[in-house]
Amino acid sequence: MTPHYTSETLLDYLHGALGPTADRAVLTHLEGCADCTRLFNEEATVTEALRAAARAEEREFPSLVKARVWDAVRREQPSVWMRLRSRWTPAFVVPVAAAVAVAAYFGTPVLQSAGPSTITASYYLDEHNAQTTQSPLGPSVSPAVYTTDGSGAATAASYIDTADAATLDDAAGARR
Amino acid sequence: MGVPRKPSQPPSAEASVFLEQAMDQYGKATYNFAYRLTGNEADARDLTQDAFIRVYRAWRSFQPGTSFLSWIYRIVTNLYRDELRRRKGRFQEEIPEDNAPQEYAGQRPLAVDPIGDYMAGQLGEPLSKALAQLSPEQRQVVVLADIEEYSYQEIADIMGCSIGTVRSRLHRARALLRRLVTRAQQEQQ
Repeated sequence: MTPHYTSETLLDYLHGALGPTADRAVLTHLEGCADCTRLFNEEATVTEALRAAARAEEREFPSLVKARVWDAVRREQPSVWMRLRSRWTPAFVVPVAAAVAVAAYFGTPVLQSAGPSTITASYYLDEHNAQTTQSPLGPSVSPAVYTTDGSGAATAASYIDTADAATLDDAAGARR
Repeated sequence: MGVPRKPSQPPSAEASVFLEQAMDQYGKATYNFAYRLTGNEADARDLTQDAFIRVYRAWRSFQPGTSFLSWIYRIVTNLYRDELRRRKGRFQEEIPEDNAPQEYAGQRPLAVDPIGDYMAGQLGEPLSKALAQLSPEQRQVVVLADIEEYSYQEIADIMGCSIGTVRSRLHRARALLRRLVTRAQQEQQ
C-alpha cells in the first residue's frame, strides 16, 4: 500500500513546488486515496479562502500616498553643489579646468608681470639706439634723437625710417 | 517609517517618468501587498510611500525584462523588516529553521473538514484575523505564496532567504492558520 502523504508534501504539490516525478506520483496517489484527497482539499480550501479574503479586502491605491511620494521627491532635489558634483567626470572637468586656467592667465595682470611681454617699446628704442651709435656704419644721427624722454622723443616713423636706412647700409656694405 | 533623505543621485526626467508609470501601474498592487503585511492602512500607506521613494532613487538598478512587482515587493519586504527591527520588542516570535519539528507534521486527515465547513459560513474576516496573528515572516510567505501566487524560488528571492526557509515558514504558517480557523469555528458553535 502506498503510504499517505504529509500535509507538507501536499502543500508543496498545491504550490507546484515538487519536481515532475514527485508531482506525478502525488497526482496518481490522490486519484486513489480518499484520505489524502480530503487533506489536499483542506489545504486548497485555505488557499482559496485566503485569495477570496484578499479580493474582498482589496483597496485602491490612495492618491494621498502618491502625493506624498512626489512631495518627498521634490524635497530631496539636490543642491547646485550636488548637481555639479554629479558631473565631476574627467570629460567635464578637464575642459573646464583648461578654460579656467586660460582665463585666469590672461585676465590676471600679476601672472603677466614676468617674461617677454614686460619689454616695452622704449626698451627696443634704447637698445637699438645703443647698437647703432656704436656701429661705424650706423646712421650719422644724434643718439639723443632716439631717447624717449620728453625733450627728444622719437616718433615711430622716424625710428622706422632710420632702421630701414641702417638695414640698407648694412646690405650695401655686404655687397661691397 | 524612516528613510534617509540624502539622494544617491540627482533626479532626472527619466526617473520622474519611471516613478509616475510605476505608481500608475503597480501602486494598487504594492499598496495591497503592504496592507496584507502590516494589517493596517496607516502603516501600509507609509510602507508604500517609502517603497516608491526607493524606486525613484534606485530606478536605474531595475533590470528591464524582469518583474517589477517582484522588485518592489522585495523593497517593501526589506522596508517592513527594517521597520519591525526599529520597533523591536513588538514582534519577537522566533521562526523555526528547516529541521525544527513541525507541530502538524505527519498529521493524518481529519475526520471532518472544519475549514470547508467554516468557509461555507463566513470566511473572510476571521481568516484575515487569523492571518494577522501570524508572525511577520509567516504572513509574508503566506501572502506571497497563496495570494500573490509566487513560486518558492521567487519568494526566496524576494525575502532574501533559502527555499528551505520559505517552505518551512509556509508549512508552519499554514498549520497555524488551520488551527486558528478551527478554533474560531469551535468558538462560534
